[in-house]
Amino acid sequence: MATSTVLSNPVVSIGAVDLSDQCTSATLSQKITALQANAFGSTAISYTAGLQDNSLSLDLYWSTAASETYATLKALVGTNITTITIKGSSAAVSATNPLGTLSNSFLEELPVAYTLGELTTCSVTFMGGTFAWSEV
Amino acid sequence: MDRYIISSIRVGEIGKPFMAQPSDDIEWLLAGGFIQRSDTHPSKGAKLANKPDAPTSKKD
Repeated sequence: MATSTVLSNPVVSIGAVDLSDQCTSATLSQKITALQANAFGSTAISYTAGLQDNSLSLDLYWSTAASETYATLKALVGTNITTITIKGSSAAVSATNPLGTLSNSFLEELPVAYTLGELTTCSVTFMGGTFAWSEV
Repeated sequence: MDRYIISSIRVGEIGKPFMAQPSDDIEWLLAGGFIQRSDTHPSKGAKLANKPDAPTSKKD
């Protein structure tokens, strides 16, 4: 049976810092590069798992107040972030509310969009690193 | 061992001890104002109001 869910209270944290109330969108891509593993005699393309190529993109409001978005991200550009976690609900981690952890991803840039008459935002993408789901 | 106190709701309840995990970047958390160092040890000049082993009764 198809279900639809209104996403309202996901949680995203960079390290120990919870930025959920500044985040409007999160796109997680758990990817493992597919490598062709064909040889003479193959009659169809076959693949084998290559390296992980994960990424997590966040759209955030650009708050420069103390302990907000700017304070959190300014020192992370060009560095590897130890852990970033995300889950669909603020409820406890479980099989139906898994916690995704991206470890040692890289933040290449911190683009900020200043638009007249609108709240300032930034869209960041954490690239690479290892990813795992946790249900406990 | 260093002690830290939470100074931002983004990390937890303000004023509570911050229990650092091995994956936590302490310098980054300090620089961002999320936690503060805490020295809970009394200074050498501090005197306790009541010595722990002093009798509380004034009866002679």
